[in-house]
Amino acid sequence: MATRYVRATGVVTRRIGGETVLVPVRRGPSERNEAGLRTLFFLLNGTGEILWEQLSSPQLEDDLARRLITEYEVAPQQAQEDVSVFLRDLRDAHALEVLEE
Amino acid sequence: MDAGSTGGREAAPDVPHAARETLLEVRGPAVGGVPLVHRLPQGWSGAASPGRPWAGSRVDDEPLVLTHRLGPASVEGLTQFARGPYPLSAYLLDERGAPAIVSDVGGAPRQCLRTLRPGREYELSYERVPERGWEWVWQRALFMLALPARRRGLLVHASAFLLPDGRAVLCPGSSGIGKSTLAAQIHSDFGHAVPVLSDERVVLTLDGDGAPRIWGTPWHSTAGLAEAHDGLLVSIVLPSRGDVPSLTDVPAGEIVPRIVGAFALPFWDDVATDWALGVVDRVVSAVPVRRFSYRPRPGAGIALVEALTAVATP
Repeated sequence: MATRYVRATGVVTRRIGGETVLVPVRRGPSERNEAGLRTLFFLLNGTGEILWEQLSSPQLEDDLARRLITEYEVAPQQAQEDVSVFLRDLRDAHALEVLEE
Repeated sequence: MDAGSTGGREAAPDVPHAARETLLEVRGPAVGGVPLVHRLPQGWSGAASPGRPWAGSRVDDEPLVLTHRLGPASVEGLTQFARGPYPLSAYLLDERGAPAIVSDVGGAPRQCLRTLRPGREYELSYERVPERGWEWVWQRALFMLALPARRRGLLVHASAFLLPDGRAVLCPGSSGIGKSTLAAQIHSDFGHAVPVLSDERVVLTLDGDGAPRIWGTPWHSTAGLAEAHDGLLVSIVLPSRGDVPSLTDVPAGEIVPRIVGAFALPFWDDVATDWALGVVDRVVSAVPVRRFSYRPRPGAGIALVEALTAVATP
């Protein structure tokens, strides 16, 4: 069984001050805190932007890592770790859907 | 019943059913240019004010209506999507996707704020008239929902003050960042000569030409600073500790996370969130961000105001 990841619906992205801001909207119980008015959001760095771009269609984790290796000449283990952390963080924030095939 | 007072009398718990159905309209003081109209059951008072001294901002938008109802604070038809921070229990959505907020902390009688007309009219149900001191929590939550829904503006977790020329300085950031301390320092050095709009929460709106404007609110922090003035935003200041007062540029990588994190984005609505991020983008692109390093002591606020006045664009 292969696991693919794809952007969830209702995730808002915008370029602000030269950075890509990503805000998952209406995504289940969260730690959003009105008293502190903290909003759960992500700032995507260069690799994050590439990964998010790829996730417009369902992707295998290994394919995402291969893209980083090609794009940034990153060592394979580092690429795997970066992708794993990225997917975990966005999945926990309900910004990604997980498709089991 | 005095809508401008700091709070009203607690109502007798037994309100005749017929009286409960008759609603009085009481106009409350405006926040961020938006007047608040309370619809209250006959014979019931206590929630027609922010619960704190507040003269009211000038008015330049349509009223926001809040109907108060004594009775079951039902959550029927609502779906929870996020936990709320104390004392609010949860954020929910109704069948239309409009937000609601519930509070039933610690077994207290439930209260529920529902959207009737997004940005225009809301309903607050009480299973029992709440104790005094809760008004400001609900009114702050109400404005958090209503301002972006009517595309008026956003609540910002920030302190703010007005320079002598009437333009506003914003100090955004989460609790503990030093924004309330800085506001207190300004007030200590200047008194009312330099109005501190708030030491905790402000409203940000965009004028017709897109210029950001900051409004004071009644929802202050421990320094108790709140003034019903407003001014065009000319500078953003991030406070930090330093021995000698100095105003310096902030590295680009620090600006966006600090600014975005301070805004109360309407995270229940993707279209409204996109609009809100556009407002944030406008602020980041139009307003310079600087760091003010200082040690809290007499004169530090004067140093900041003088430095900002010197660098502010005409």
